[in-house]
Amino acid sequence: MSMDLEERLLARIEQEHIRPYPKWVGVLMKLGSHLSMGAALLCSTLAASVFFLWLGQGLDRGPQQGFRWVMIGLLPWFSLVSAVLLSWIGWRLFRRTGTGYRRQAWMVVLVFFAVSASTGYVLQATGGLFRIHRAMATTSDTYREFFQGRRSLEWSLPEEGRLAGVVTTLDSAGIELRDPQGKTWQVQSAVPDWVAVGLEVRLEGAMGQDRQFLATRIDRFGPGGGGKMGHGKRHSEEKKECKP
Amino acid sequence: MDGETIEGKGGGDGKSDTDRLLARRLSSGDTKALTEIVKSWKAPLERYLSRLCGGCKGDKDEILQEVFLKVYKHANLYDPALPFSAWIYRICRNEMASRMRLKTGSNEVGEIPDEVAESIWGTVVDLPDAHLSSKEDARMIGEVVNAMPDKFRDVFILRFLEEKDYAEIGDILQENVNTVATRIRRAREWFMDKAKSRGLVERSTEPARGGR
Repeated sequence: MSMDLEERLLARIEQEHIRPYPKWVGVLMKLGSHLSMGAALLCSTLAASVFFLWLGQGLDRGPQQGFRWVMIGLLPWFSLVSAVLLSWIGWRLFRRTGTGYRRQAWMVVLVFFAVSASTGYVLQATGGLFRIHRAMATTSDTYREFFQGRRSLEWSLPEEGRLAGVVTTLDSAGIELRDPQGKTWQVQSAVPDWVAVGLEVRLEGAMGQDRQFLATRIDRFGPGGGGKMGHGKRHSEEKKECKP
Repeated sequence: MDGETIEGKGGGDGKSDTDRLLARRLSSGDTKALTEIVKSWKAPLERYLSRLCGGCKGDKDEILQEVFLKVYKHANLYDPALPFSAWIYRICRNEMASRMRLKTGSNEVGEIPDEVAESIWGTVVDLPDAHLSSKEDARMIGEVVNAMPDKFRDVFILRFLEEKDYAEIGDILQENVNTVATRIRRAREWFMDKAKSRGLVERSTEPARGGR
């Protein structure tokens, strides 16, 4: 019986030309597991960073209480829950790396979360989160469409001295801006050094003739750019820079 | 931990070292090493399969063939930090599980021999004088194990039939050793509960009490 099995095995190996997988397959699989674990940690760090961002600059939920009001209030907690969930996913991936399953689940999740939270805090405090946002906004159309636009629409009222949109060109004379309706505006203002093409900004100032806008203040949406609808904490240094 | 150690035996015994060497030879495509592994592991794996899946008798040979082929193909992916026995048992269990998922047939534990039932009973009941009074009781133990939920039966079979230590069970099931310990405790509780309801505990301890 034993010989039968051995013979059949050897015959099958010969017939089907079966060979052990090369070593690099194992290396690749290990690398894949570690990379996915790293990706989970990165996402968890970003989620934690967004939580600290909301926590730091506060939320303006608007005057009317309703579904939107509730949802805006839940945003920071959604980020926090995402960070915890991603830490748990990190643990599931860690289990697949060699003998990772030997570790206690809660301990690994806790370590993942602690690393995410501390790195996320540093990222937010040092302006790294905004730099990532700016890089994404300037390079990815999908990101821009997904994260930008609606808030510009809510902010933009040029007749009342408020304009928002995406920067299309940038030079020493000022910036060219495309508003949510697709109209192009020439903005006269000193340009803060954080402004980049593709980034969504909001302006305060006065509307001029022929789609000219004289900005007295330029603020950014997104990470580090003040609260929802721009009523959050302002950056005084940006205000100074914008004065023509 | 009910008086049992959760530490593993380590994997430094002679058999383990030989297996590691064989695995190394296997990774370069040495079929003689495979033959040696088959000789050494066929009987334990066959017994494990019977216990794990009495209902897949016809497939047992086919499953074993697939297990050894996987051992051969994945030899380069074997991590020497893991005991070879845990690795091969894991492959065997996963292969069986994937077959059962496809077939959705019975996965009843095979018939448990009387002496095995007696040894399970002695370990699980944890009473020095406890012994099974009849063949009927031994058969009943098989029935109780059969009725056990999968998550308990996995650890129960590995612990009380295969007599693996907690660390090795953890390596086979890819679970933390504390999780394994908890699951074994619950499996034992579940088993004792069913055994009590069938009067097994009373019958097995009665003669001992009478003798005192």
